Amino acid sequence: MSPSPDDLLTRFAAGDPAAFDELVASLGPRLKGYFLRQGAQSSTAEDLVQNVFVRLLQNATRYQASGRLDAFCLRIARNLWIDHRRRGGRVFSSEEAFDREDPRPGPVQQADSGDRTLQLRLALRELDPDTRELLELAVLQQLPYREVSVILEIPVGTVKSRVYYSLRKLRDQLHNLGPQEDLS
Amino acid sequence: MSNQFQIPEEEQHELDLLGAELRDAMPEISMSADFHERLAAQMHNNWTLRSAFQNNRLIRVAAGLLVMTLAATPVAAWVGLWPQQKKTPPLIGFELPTEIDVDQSGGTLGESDGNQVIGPNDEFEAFEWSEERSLAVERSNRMASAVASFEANVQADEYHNFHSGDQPRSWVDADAQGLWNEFGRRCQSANLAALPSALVQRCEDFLQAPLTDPVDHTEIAARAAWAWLLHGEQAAAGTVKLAWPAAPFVVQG
Repeated sequence: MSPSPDDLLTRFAAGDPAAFDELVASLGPRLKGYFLRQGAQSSTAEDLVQNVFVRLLQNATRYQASGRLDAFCLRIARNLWIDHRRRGGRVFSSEEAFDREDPRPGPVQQADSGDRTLQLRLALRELDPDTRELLELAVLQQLPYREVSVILEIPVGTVKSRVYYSLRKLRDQLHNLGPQEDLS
Repeated sequence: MSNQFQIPEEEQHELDLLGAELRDAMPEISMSADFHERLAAQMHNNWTLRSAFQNNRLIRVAAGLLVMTLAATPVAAWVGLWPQQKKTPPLIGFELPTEIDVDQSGGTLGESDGNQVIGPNDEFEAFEWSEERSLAVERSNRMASAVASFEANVQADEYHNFHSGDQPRSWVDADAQGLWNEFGRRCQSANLAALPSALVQRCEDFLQAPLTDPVDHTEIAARAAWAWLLHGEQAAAGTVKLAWPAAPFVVQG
């Protein structure tokens, strides 16, 4: 059983440098995926991930494992992404971002061929940024609604209802993109 | 309440499956090969004053001392440069008179009778006693008695009842009412001064003159009061009516 990120940071704060490497290996791809799906360049995404870990390191000695560390990191990531956009950092369109993740032919083209995976990516890409960010945190990153509400600064009930309606919207878009499939 | 938002169970299951499918549809993300090296380099070079303050207690203490020193320097300079008032050392000791005047004339003291004793009789002998002075003291004592009785027993509004009329311009023309008023005024104002000779003379004449109205209370009271004050004569007992309650003299009604 792999240790949780909270345990890794606690170990690092206690003086185990290898724990931080494990933490980077565990959370790095998740954070990079967050930045990429928000529209960051690949190199920019990795720079921002580095900044997240630097901030985490600066606060490691004062860290108290009272919440989920991945939620804390995603909160830092979201703030860094907002700062990056304010400074005029380049943002790819969601289509470009998804294209850069996967070298295979574009989703529009492959959606026509009925590829379910690409249909899902395309449907997610078509969502508005706020809905996409909500699904990113609640569905893709699998954060509890309470943590999502803290990050997005909205009530928990609102998170729950918005996730519900966002998934329904995604399902409807899937129906519009390709042949009906039985999801149950 | 938004927290009470309920999703139909079947639909919830369907959407959970959609979420899982969406996660599976996302491409595998991997970090670049040199990511760890770049991260380590950035962390090594990412020393910031803020992080140092947060992580190192000694740096916080040193910074605090530095700030205190920087703040204290101008204050110390200001205190040091402040023009101080020149203080003259206080003189300790005393000055002796340069010259002492000593009477060298060699004068003689007056002769004295060392056996003479001054006693109380000698003191009384210096006081010139006279009948007139004795009479004045007695009158003054009686006036003081009347004032004390008046103050203790007569209210201002009551005094107004038996005090009416102005002070006469001349005691020669003063009638019974005027004399009675004068007596009341002296009692009210605690006037123990020596009686004017003109007033005394008018009162004597008034007392020697026959009673003009046997039922006039004012005249009777004035006669009783002035007779008692000037001569210490109490009116004969009998049908007696006091000038005021507990008056030291008796007024024959």
